[in-house]
Amino acid sequence: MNKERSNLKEQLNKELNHLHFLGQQKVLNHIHNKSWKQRIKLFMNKEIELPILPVSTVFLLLFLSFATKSIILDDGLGRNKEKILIEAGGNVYWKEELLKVESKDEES
Amino acid sequence: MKKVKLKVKHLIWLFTGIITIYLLIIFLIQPQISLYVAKKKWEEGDIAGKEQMINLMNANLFTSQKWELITDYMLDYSLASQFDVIVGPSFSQVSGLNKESSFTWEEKLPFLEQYVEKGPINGYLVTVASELAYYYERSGDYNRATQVIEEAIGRFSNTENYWDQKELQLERAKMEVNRSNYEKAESLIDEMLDSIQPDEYYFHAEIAQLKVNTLIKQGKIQTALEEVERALKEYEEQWTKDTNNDVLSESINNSVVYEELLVLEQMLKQSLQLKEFETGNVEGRIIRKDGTPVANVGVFLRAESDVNRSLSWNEPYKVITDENGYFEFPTVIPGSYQIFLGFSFDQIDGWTWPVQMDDWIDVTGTKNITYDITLHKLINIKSPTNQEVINDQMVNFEWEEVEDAAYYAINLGIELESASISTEFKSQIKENNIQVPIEDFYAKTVSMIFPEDNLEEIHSQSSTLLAFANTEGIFFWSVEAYDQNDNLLSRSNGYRLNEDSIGELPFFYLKERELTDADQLLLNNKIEEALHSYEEAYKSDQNDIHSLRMISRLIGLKAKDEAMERKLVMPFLIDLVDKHAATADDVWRLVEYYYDLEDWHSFNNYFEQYSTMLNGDISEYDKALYAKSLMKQGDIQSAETEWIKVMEMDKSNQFIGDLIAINLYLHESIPKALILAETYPERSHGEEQKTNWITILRQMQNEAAQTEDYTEGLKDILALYMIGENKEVMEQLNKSDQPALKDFINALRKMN
Repeated sequence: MNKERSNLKEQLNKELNHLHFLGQQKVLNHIHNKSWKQRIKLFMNKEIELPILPVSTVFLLLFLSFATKSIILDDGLGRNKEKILIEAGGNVYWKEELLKVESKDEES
Repeated sequence: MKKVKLKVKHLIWLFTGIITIYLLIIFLIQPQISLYVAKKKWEEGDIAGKEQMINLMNANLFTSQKWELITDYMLDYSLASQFDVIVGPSFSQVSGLNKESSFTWEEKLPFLEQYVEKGPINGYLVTVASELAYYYERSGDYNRATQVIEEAIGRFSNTENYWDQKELQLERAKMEVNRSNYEKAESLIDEMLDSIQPDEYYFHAEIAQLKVNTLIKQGKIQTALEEVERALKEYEEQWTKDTNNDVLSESINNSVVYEELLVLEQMLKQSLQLKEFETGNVEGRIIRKDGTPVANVGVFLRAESDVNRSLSWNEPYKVITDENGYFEFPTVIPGSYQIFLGFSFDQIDGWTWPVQMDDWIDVTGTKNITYDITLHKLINIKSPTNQEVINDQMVNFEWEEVEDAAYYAINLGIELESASISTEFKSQIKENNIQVPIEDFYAKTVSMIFPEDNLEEIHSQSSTLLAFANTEGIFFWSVEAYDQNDNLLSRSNGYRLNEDSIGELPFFYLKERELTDADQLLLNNKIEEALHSYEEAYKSDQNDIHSLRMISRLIGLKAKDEAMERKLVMPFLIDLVDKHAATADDVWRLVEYYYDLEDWHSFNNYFEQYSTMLNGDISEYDKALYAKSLMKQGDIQSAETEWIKVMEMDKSNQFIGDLIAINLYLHESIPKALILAETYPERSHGEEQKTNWITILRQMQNEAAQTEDYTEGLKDILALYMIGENKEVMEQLNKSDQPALKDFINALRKMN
């Protein structure tokens, strides 16, 4: 039996001797590990569906938070008042301090 | 829900795009916007401006922008702005009204250091290095100061900025001179001289100037003068050579170094004329009244010719007080000087340096001068304050008592739209309070119309014409304390910058009276109608003192010239006197009027009234007019006594010429007159050229030695001068061939 089989095999080899299978690697690649390039390409070309509303809301929020932080807070508007010296009544005052005292006087 | 279908790669592109834009904004665009905002704020005096600049400079600016910020915002460019406040006898000044927003040394130090190390190599590097070095010198770190300059000099090597490097080398040598390392300075100077060309005369002159200062510091006045003269000659020669064919060239007098050499020459010459061959020494200490020393105050000793100019980097005598408040100028050219001080706001806030005009220091080569300075606390006022509305007949002034005060003086002021005007009100007040009748306020004249005033000027002063009778006016007051020798001790007005020092506000309103229709017209700038209305009111009611007063202030409107104005106003002033409503100021106008008319009877009469009204407390200027009148009346003996009184009061010695004239006339001795001239040297006042009586008298002495009957001739002319016979004086003078005598008489005539 074994002998018969091996004969058959031998024969087959002889007959197929002039045929060469060239896509061996391709097939292997196809069924085994793909290269990372291919995988990326595959991933890149994958189509996805995104809901417009939530996504754009997220973007808008991100943008707004950035804008508020950098433009309003960083510029410190309203954080520091001007300091100006003025001459009044023969004295030199910081305007701000003088106004403070004056308004206190008016209250009392 | 709507959905969008896209490939993952598109989504990633989108993300990358957004992130790139975000980064671009963060690192490029946003800093630029912030920078723009920061600059704007800085200009508006907002303190946030500089904070933002510092943050930006530490973070995301282009280097070139960083250097630009340093040169545009951190450099002072002037010595004065190294201090917040400059105070001197003739002026007090805040350097820049939004000073709080500018950079402190603590803040800018690291950036200036960076600039010296890595900044662009150009003229700014010289300024940055110099200012940085000055800072280190001020803080006593001389080594670092030298290092900074040397580092900058090094960076200029192998560049084309030849001049900048030379400028710094000069700076370097100056440092050694300032530290009295003359040998080191000399070797540096020699090095420089080796490397410059003979036709670079500007630089030669600068080096010569440094040499001269070195000689002066070593006390070699004669040699210094020789060097100045040599340098001036060389400069002039080279200048002529250089500009020979150049019609467009500017005047040699526009050259800074030339000008400075001329000043040095003049001072040295003057010193030698006064027979002073050595430099003098001025030292002192700045303390507060409570004894604490004031460290780090800028002290500037300024020559007579400089006191009316602003501080420059080239101030020859500048030092900083040490931690115990001491300062010293070891080598000063003999002459007259004034001290100016540079304070920070913290140092002067709530305090005052009670310095008076004409506070001079006469430096001689023989004696050491100690000039101690005590800062006094500002006087706190108690009443009236804080916009108090006064409706009563009496106004009660009260203030904090000042130790050692012999008397007080009150000044009143009017707040105008963009300015204020203030005037002396009451003096010789013995207590720290006084009750003043409201009528005294109404009577106080602040301004009046002069014939040459144009309409615009008159309109701008309508509220000051009405003065304290204006019930809508905002008024303020201040008080000064004097000791028994009339030295100012302290005052209530000054820098009041924080909650503790701000005190009570000195403002008040006077609403006791009601505005008349004429007053309303005046306040509405209808001056002519107002005057007419006052005249009508006075005509119909001879007891209407207010209208009478207002006429005396406004009548100048009708006059074409001063003589006419006086003629017009006289009857009204006399009415005021007769109705016992005249102030001392009103009487003084009569005194001047009769002086001009040479009506001595009326003059003496009104002068006596004036003197009585002021309890004999007459200013030196008023006394001078009286002395002058005695001269004209021919009472030369009494005139001499009066002039001596004037000289003792007036520290500017501007009337010394007349006393010398009388002295020569009475005692016929030039040496005696010389002693007077030396005791009371005339000070420069304002822009006017002062007269050097000592020099003139010395020359007269020479003339007298060579001329017979010199003093007799002199006496004749003086007799004519004193009684005011100007024509005859000129005739006599034209006949004379004595130049010094002519100078003397012309100088006398110039005084009037």
